[in-house]
Amino acid sequence: MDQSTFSPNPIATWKSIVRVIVFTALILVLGNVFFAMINPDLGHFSLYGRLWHGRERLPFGETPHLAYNFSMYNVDAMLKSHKIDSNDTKEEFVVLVIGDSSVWGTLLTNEQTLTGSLNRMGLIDEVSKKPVRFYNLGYPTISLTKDLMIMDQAVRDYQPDLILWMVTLEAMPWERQLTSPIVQNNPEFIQDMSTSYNLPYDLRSSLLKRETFWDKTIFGRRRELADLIRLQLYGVMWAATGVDQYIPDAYTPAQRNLENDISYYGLTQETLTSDVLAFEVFNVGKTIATEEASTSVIIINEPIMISSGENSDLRYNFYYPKWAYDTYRSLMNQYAQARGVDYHDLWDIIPEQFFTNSAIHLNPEGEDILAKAITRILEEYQLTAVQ
Amino acid sequence: MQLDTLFIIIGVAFLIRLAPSLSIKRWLLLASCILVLFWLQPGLPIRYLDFFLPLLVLLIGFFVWLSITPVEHQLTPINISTAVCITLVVIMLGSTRYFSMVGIITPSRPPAVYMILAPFAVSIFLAFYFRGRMQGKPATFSALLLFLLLLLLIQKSPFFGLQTSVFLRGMAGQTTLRASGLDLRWLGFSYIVFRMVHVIVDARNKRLKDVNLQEFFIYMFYYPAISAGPIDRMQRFLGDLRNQTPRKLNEDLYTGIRRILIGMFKKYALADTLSLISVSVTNVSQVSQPGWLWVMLYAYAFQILFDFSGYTDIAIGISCIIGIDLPENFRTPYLKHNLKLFWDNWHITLTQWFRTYFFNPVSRHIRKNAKNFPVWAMVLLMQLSTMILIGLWHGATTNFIIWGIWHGAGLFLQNRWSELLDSKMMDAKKPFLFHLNRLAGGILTFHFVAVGWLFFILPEPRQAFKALGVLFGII
Repeated sequence: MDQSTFSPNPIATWKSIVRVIVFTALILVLGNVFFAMINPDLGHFSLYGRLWHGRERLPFGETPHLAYNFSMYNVDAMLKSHKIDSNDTKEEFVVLVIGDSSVWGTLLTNEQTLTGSLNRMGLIDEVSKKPVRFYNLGYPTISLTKDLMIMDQAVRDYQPDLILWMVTLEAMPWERQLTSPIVQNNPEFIQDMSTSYNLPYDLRSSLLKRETFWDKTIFGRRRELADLIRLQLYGVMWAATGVDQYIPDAYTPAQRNLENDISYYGLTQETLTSDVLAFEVFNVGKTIATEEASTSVIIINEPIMISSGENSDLRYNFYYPKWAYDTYRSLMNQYAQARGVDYHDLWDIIPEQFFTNSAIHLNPEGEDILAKAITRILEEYQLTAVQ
Repeated sequence: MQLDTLFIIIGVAFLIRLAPSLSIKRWLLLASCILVLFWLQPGLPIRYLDFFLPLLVLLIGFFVWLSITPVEHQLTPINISTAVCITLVVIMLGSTRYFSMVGIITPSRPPAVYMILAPFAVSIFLAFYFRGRMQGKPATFSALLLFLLLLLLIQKSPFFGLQTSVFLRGMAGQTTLRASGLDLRWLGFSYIVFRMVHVIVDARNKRLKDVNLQEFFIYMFYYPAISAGPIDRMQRFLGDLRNQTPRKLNEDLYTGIRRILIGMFKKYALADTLSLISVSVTNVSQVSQPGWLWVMLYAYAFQILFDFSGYTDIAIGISCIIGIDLPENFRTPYLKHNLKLFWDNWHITLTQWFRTYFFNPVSRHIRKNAKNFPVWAMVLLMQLSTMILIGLWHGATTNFIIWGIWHGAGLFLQNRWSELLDSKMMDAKKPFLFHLNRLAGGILTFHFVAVGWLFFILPEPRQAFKALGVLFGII
């Protein structure tokens, strides 16, 4: 075996080498141009629900090797990997829960999240007698527009029976709407919302990705293609382990002693008005839900940590000076009354000790308290617990 | 290896090939081998160690060459020129310390030039001091072999690695609290040791002809094969290196690039993708269903094959562009119908090395000195000891010993089974039985190897046995 059996190819003439190079280059160029021209939506293909079960929450993560999960920007593909895509939703009363990391469940297993707690309540719809099933469509970046983007796609694809939209002030300012990477990488959605619903986005913002012809080629979309393959492969690990988030043994608790600082995005009590907050996004969300699925939307101001530490007379927590948050609550109430929105303010129902590493992240006990409070709201919709 | 690094290496191979004469080609090859030795050396946290380790291996190589080369052939113009060339290349690398080139050729800032010159000076002194006293002496060979094995033990054993790291950190005035066996990652050293042992043993057995320092260094540190083999034999390698008959550049380019592309596909597309779902230390305890663990184990089995054989393809392809053929290392090992055939086709050059330098001589010795030793006991002893040594080469830890025992025992059982039944199955009048035997053998062999990988991947045997329990639905 010592002798090499590897011998050069006798037909490899210079002519044939040049021919191979030219032919390969031609196929490469033509393939890329053709791909760019048809610009296929790659997110439709999914092995979730076929070879392995769907995910309980949307793909997100920065430590794929530990969490078997990662952040990507193709909303369609993200939803196709979700349980909602593979479950037989005809036999369920489907409730979408939209929101940020507090809904997604940072530092929580799927059973411990808000939707996990709500599903454990075993609610049924008294009208249709169907079991109520809550789907976690939270995504850990804070922006109402990001929520709208996920909701828009999910409402069209899955025709939910009800939507719970968990919000907080940090997601509301117009200037924060385009800061989420998933929004920045879906500029066509922003363009569409701006055109169809006159949402006042800055379409020339440098935050939005500019898509050129090159970006539509296979080469330009190589990251998206790789992400789609990774998403499918991590399905094996998800199915095998049930892990979709790396939860460390210890974490830094949310800041209790606060800065002596009452600034908030350069705003004052006079300038923090409904104009600087993206209330129109709620209107569009409600419109889409009604038009596409005849569905109601319940907006809930999610609980925040009310700190008792240093400077807690000035601020509620790391995010919010008291004046800004109180103004926001007041504006939300005014908006809800003016537009007939089903709005519930649960901002202070969770005691300080139930928060984990952030002023909006709850521990499992906190999620249970929140779930019970939401259950009481849902009774108005005739969704009740089985006796 | 990063893709940009790979493309640079391929480009260098092409430039070497374009050299106008064989002599220039050799000089370029020598310089590039030395440069790559320092360039690809992983960065280490112990100060200057990532410079001194490649330097040390060069100096060891120099002494090995001295030990096998007759005194009268040492101070020839080509050998002196080679020594000067190597010294100049190393000093040039060291001088990058004074320019803004840190991290470009060497992984970290090289030591001051006087610190580099000191080992050279000591080596020259030792070389002249021992001149005529060490060449061709069995004691010299034994001392060199022991020294190499000691270095290998330090590198492969977590305990000795840690102690050495503590010592070196202390010498460098760094904290010993962060000492780790990983501080001693040494580019290609395992493979270099194999080549050195081969050269020393063949020289002792008078199977090696004279080789000049230039050829010796090119063979020893041949850069396409530095990080993952294959382990070529010097006699065969020199045949290609000295070959005056011009090879056709177009044919070598065509074959080399095709082989590199196949290797890149295996490594970067298949192996790296499979690594996402392969069984690992982190994920093995998270799986409780046998079916999924089997899927992850299959993924690992193919990941390691594609990773390793992909690297080998790339090495063979680059070498082909240079104009030197390297031996094959993998021939569809998972399609073989028994374990012996698997090992004849998996990491072929490693298996051959152990066969040549351990299995055959030790077997001969036992047969000669213990004539009544039963055949079955001989087979068991030799299979076990060879496979345990192969395991230890991967790492001096319990899991690799168990992995060696697993394969040694498997080879023994297969040997006995073949003796007992294969002759009946091979009967041409029973083609059905013959094919059934082949098919069942293939499936069994693959699964035997795949299950064995558990001991290879998981450093804690307890973890591996637990995984075995899950695989077979016992736990």
